[in-house]
Amino acid sequence: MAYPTPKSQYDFSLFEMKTGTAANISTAPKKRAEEKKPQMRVVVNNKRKNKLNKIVPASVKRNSVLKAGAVLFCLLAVLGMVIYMQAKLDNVNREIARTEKTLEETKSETVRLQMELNSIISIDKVEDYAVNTLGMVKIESGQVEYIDLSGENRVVLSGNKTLNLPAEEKAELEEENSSSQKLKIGEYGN
Amino acid sequence: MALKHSLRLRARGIIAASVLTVGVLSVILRVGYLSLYRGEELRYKAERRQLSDSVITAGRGTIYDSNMKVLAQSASTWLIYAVPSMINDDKDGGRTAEEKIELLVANFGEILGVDEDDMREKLKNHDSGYVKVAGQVEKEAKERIVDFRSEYDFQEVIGIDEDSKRYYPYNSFASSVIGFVNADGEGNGGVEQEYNDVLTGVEGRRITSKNGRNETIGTDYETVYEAQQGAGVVLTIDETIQYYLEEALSQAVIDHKAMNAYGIVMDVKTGAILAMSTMPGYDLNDPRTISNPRLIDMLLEDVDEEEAEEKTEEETKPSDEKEEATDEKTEATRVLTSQQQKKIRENENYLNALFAQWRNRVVSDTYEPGSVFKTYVLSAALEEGVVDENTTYTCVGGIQVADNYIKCWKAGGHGHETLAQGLMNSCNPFFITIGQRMGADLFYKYFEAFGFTEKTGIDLPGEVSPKAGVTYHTLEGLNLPELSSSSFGQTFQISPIQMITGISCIANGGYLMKPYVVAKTIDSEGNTITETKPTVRRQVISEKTSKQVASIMEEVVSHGTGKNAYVAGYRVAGKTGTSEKLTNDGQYIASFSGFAPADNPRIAVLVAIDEPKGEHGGGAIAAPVVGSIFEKTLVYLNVEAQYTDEELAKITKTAPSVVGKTVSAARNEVSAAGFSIKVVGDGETVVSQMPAPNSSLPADGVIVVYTEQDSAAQTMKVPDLTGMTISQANRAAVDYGFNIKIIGATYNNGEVVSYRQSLEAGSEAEIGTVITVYFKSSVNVVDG
Repeated sequence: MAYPTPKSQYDFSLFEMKTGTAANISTAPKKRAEEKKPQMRVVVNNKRKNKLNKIVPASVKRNSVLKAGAVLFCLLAVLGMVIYMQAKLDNVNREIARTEKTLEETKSETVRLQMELNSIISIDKVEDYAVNTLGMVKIESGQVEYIDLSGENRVVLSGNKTLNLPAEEKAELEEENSSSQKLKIGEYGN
Repeated sequence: MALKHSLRLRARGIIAASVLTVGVLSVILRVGYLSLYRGEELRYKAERRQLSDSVITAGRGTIYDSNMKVLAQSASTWLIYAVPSMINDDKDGGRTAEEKIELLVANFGEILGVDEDDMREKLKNHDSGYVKVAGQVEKEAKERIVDFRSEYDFQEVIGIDEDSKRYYPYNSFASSVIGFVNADGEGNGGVEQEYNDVLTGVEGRRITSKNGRNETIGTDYETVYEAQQGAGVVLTIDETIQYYLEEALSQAVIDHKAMNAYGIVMDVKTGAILAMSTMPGYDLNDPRTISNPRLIDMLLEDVDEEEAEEKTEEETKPSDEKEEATDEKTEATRVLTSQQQKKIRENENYLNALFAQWRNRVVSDTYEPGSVFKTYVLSAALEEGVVDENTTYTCVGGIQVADNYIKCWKAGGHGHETLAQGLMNSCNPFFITIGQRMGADLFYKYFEAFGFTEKTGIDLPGEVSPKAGVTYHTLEGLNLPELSSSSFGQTFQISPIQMITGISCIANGGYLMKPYVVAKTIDSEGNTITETKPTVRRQVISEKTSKQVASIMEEVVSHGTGKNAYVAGYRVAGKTGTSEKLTNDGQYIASFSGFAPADNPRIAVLVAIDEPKGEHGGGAIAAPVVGSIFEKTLVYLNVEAQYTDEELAKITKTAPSVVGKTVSAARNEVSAAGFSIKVVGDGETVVSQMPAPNSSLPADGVIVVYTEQDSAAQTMKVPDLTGMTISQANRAAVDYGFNIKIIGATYNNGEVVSYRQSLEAGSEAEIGTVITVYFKSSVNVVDG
């Protein structure tokens, strides 16, 4: 059988190791029955040990109670904390939901007000106000001056002043002017 | 003994193992039964108890104009409903159900504006579990309802659901292009319908665990399927150009008491629609109310008859009875108004009127193009070499076509004329001859090439589909009479959008474009999702022919039947058209199509006035409308005006600023600028002037200066300035102390006559005020 020996289950071997040899352990059952006495002694010894354990000082006993109390308290505290946090979380979630709702409502209200504003400043109302209240008049095509930016860029100096710059700087300035001119044309084109 | 013990132990082991096996097996079977057989049902039950499943609504995309100005936008609103079955008498002797209903009705009426009688009827139905009170309720009203509900403990009677509302800030602005959203949130008409899928988006869901109070518990167990917001749509429509078009069209409807007027402004190079309108429009925020006065008149015809009968009866009553009935009469009038509204809605033609109002006539209607079509015949004939610029013709007032003699619109004929003069005079026999010379094959080839046998493919719903043999002649059906009549734009129909696309083709060098109204779609962050690229359908005529035709069309405007579309400083090319409606005897459609600047075309404009009263010629009534649109739009598009010397001489001058100057200095400055001065008050310094500095005035205008701070503005009755030439109107205005601003065809002082003025004759106005006077020519503007 592959079952472990009953001895090992009852932990007799611990005792036997101290009193006999390994050969004795594997002897016939009869022999084992004879050896029951020392075994009993061991039990007695254990009882003694238990008795010794029971006879612990009162301070130690109090300590263990305190320890247990502390552990219980910690457990309760953790439990309380978890419940508290959960309640807090619920509140925060509620608050988030409420705020999200308010945000949605505010967004809607913003759109509504924006649309109302747009309708108030529609192009026809602006024109009506400008013409009939402010007395403004529309510009006519003949009043528009168009500036031709396609010509070369020039620097006009007043009087008889001349530009006395080193050749390098002069070239740099010219290049800068031409690029800024291009940019202006580009912007105009866009 | 030991053996017995061992056997017992084994037996116990076996029993325990058996029990365990049976237990485990039963558990496995139960688990299998619950998970495999009842799994779905139990999961559903558990989820219902533990999970909160809410829909995340996908906001409908916003519609913008080409300058990103919002034309339509959605926002969340609320739906208020009532539960009549929960309206019961209070057990503690409080309110009765009847009292509660009255309370509800009064508050619903006051806060939500619902019909109280109707609501009372609905709430009295105790079997009903749901009555919609009002949808699209905004925040303020909703909060009042919430307060009312709490105050009177109507928690179980009044319910509030989420809803959404589409806002159209400019009401009827571009109504036929934008369309609206119906009660189901679906687009109806215009871009709202065509791009409904793009605008709608996809709803999302949020699944979270919930506690016993139905509140979500944390986000750890939350599963969110984000809503896909509807994409925004950016139109090619430019708000400013659209405004110019609508302003001009609505004025045309008023001036000519027309049923409708419609128009399009197109970018000739791309085919992008810059403005499109059918006037009168309708309020997009209230699309089910008829707003076309002529439609209202038609629908109210019956009501008016009844009203007239009532009036007749009333007039026969003794006078004392009449006095007594005054209050009742006022009430009756109010009731009658509501009856009128009801009558309109109950009228069997209400739905037809509604569809007529929503109809985008520019894409959904067809009309006989009339003389405008001659430009296509001319283009085709020039392209094929059938005629050239030197071709001449002698119009004798008519032409024999098979068994019929077709008359020219001008009795006696136009006599000898060149090709350009033929178009300028809109001579029918000339174009019949050109059409006959081309023959049916060539004619049909170009008719097809210009896109008149197919849809343009514009991205708007309801584009009318041309029908062979019905709306146009097939090649087989194009016999001599049909060919002849088609050559001057009669006996077939095309849509306005086909017409403007063809005109743009002539303007841009012969390229037939696909028109479009949506430039791009964008996501909520403004990133481009799709962009519309201009599409060339085909090249119909060469650039050379295009330039030749443009030049002749320019002559039509500067000296021909289209002279009322002339704009000083700009080269406008165009063609007038007048056609009798086939479906309505004695009614006409007056139209004008053109483009500008003629040498480098930027925009094409088409305007058609449907069923005008009185004058009905395209050159007389549609051309001035197009002229005003061109003038404003070209300035807006920054197209430089280039005046001829003749035009420069006629340009109005600018009023100088004389405020703060002494009276004598002001007098000198004003007269040096070519104006006369009128001094009001005895002060020495000018404190204000009328008109304001930089206002444009015609030469000889008058500037009124005030020299006393508190002097009241002097007023005068506005004279009638209509029916006068420019110089007559100017003189008459100055005599009264007013100035005029000249609008319209001004190239020939003696020929043009004023037909409208901005201030009504007889009204009081401050002297010096500038009155806008509109001029047009009535000489040789009639076309075939």
